[in-house]
Amino acid sequence: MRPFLLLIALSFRSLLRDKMFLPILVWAGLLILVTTILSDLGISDYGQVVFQIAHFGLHVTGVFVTLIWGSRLICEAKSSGGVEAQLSTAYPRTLWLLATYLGLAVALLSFVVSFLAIWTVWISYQKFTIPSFDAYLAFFLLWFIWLIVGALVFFFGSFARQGVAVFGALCLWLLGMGSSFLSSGVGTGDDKSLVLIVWQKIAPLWNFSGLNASNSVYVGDSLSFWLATPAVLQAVGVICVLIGLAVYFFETKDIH
Amino acid sequence: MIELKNLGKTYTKEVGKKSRPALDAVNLLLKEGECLGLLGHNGAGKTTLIRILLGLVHPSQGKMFFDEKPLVRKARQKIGYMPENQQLAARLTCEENLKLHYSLISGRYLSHDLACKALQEVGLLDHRKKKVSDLSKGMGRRLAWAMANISDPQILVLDEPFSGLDPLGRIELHRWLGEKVKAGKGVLLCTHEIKLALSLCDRVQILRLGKECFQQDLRSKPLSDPAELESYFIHEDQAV
Repeated sequence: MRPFLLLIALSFRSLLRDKMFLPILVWAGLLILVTTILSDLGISDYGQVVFQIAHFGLHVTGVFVTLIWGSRLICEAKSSGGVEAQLSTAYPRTLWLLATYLGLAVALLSFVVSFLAIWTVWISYQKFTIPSFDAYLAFFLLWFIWLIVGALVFFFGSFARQGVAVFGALCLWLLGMGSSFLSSGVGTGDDKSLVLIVWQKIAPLWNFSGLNASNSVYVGDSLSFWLATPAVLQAVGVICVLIGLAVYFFETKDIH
Repeated sequence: MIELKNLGKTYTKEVGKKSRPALDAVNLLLKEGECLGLLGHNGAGKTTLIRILLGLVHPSQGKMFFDEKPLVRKARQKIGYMPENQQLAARLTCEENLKLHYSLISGRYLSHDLACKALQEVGLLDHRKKKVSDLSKGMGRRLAWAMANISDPQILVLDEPFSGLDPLGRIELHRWLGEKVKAGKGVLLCTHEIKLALSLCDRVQILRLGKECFQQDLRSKPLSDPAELESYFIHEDQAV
């Protein structure tokens, strides 16, 4: 257990040294700038606009941070040989992969917590009328989207190079976010090819819009843990499958 | 102590390329208190052999034994490895790399004092808080050296250990290897440097294009002229 915990801690620490809080600070600065401009314009749904900009920005920033960190932890470690030195100790590859992924998960959690701390200070200062619990939950759900993206990078990174891993994860994230839109679009036509029928079966499984809850905060369907649970469980299931596949490839492939 | 029998490895064929075994039916025997020099040109199969031994690459054929029993993962914990290049976690410090390596091998934490002692032995104590990415090549080699030795392994596998070391470091590593062999450790030394191999090794084995092409016990049959070994190493037509 000790090496496992140490691997998690050191994976997290190595990401911390990547100046991980810089994107958050940049985004917080932009948020302050945008809100200042919007307050000058006198827009009525001021609070909603600020929240949705913050949510969208954090979502996208987090995805790109995950792509960079995830690929560094597995692909770069493979290409630079860091994995080789660590696995030459006869430490099980499965545990190494799981601990490294958990290190990424902790780093991403600290990313969202840091943003929420800045967010809390900012809304307290501005005295916005934002439904705070819903907003916090919506921000927190982004963590699961990032965990899926991280699992995708680990899956591709277990057998492919960095470029393939990042590109593959990026494409599948986009597909997961646009899945409901795409399936509603293809379902209306009369001509249903086999591909479309198969897609309609797969689409609900690869649909992460339930985790992107920025609209729910203002539409009136109040968010709650119970409402978010199916989406979270689906995310956990997807992560388990992806990490399971990553472990399989990482165990069977040569490291060189 | 370590025996490799009929070891072979063919990497998956790339489209349009003819596959050639990286390692073809190689046998190797490393005994206690012996330094075996594994020589060969670039791409001869030395690193592939080491990686198979360490469990990083899956062999296509052959068997491996440790103390006459099949080589299992647990036994690999008795092998200390010094990789060829600066193949360490670049964003961690020297001390963190050492602690992580020790923990992965033994399952225990390495205390700060012991880590400092190990780093002092290789002249890196003052650089213990430096990240690996900020180290020079020679310092990286010294750290890899400390990591190979941290658990006092029975077998040392060293891939081009002298490359990048300054003259003082080379002398120190040379002396240290001699002491390890005297203490009964088995040393597998991969190198291009023939003179160094001759000064350190009890036996030499040469690989060419993945095949074993020459081996000699230098204790019972010393080479009269080092150039003789060089000729086996270089000239294809003189190889056995």
